[in-house]
Amino acid sequence: MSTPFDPPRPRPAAAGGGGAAFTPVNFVARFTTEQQIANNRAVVPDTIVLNEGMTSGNGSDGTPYGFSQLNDSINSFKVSEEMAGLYQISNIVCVSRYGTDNGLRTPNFFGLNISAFLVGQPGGNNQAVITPRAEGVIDVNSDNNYISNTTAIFRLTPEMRFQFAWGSSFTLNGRSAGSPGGQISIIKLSD
Amino acid sequence: MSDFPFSIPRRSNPVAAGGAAGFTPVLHAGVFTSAGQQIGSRAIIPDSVVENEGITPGNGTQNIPYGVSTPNGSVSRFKVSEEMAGIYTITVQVTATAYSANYDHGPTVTFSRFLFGRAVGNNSIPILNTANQDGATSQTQRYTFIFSATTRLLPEEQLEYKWGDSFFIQGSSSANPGGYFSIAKISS
Repeated sequence: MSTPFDPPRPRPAAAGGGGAAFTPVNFVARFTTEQQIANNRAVVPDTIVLNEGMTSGNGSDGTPYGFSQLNDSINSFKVSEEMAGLYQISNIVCVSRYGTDNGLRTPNFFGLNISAFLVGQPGGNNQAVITPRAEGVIDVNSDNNYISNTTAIFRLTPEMRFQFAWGSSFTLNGRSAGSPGGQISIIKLSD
Repeated sequence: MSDFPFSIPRRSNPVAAGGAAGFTPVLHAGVFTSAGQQIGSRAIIPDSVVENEGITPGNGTQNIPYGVSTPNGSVSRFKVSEEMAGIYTITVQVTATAYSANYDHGPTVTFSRFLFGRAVGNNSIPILNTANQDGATSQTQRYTFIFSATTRLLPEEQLEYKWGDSFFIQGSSSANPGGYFSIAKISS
């Protein structure tokens, strides 16, 4: 947690007989350095600026609740009973081509692969693609920058695991904390 | 819920004795899984509905079904019941190429609210009208466009939405869709 301030978190107001209050969950992080991103790799920001509402401990499959990086190929966001609800994930990055040596072979798209699955549920591989791969243009013949956006709203149920990874290779053009090259957020909007 | 591989349980409303009514979530989401030309001023109709919870059964005023309906090809309607009313975010994300060599504006959208019988202008309240200029897309390069707006929808009001300009949507399969669409109630 390198956040410069400690965000206040509303306390559950389960007063006598009343309904339980909303439990916010906010994960926000930024990309502050220039780096080459490889296809099908985990989304690993340089700096986490908000990280509230994560239930402590591990879930049913041993995965820690909240933002966790199981390995270098994918990110996992495990949801607890309290964390479950409607979520919005948003990502914005300033990108340019992956490399200059093989311009025509440089992938010309960028994206986030997002899926959600619930261990033990029957039906296929228990995964569903819930957003498209956001394919913005990266010019293979120049160093021009492009802004790529991805956003989606969906429901995460208790013990569901939200997975996401980069969908292609590119260069992420972050410079510093004061001039970041992108931001990713995982926000619980409502129950 | 046409192709979602598992049924999503919906949390119950904690309307305990003496307590405040709980939040009633509403979420409709769809994906565009095929490639095709989308025509301007036509309804936004995803290929597959992946989430559809919180829709009140039955019809509202004007005998229009609650939830998403496409009475014709020119506009999509989202009729809101008393329980469904609240603050909504509507989001459309598409991967697009130009409609044709001579039409490279890229996609645009029109969102509006409509309450039958209300005496305001033509009874339609604009929410979002986007505009792209020439050259926003090409026929060979894929661009991603996101349109999003947040508004309050009142009981019996209709959210109406449609494409603005024509474009070519680049969906290829359910595993690699070309777009995502959602209407989400985020608070009461």
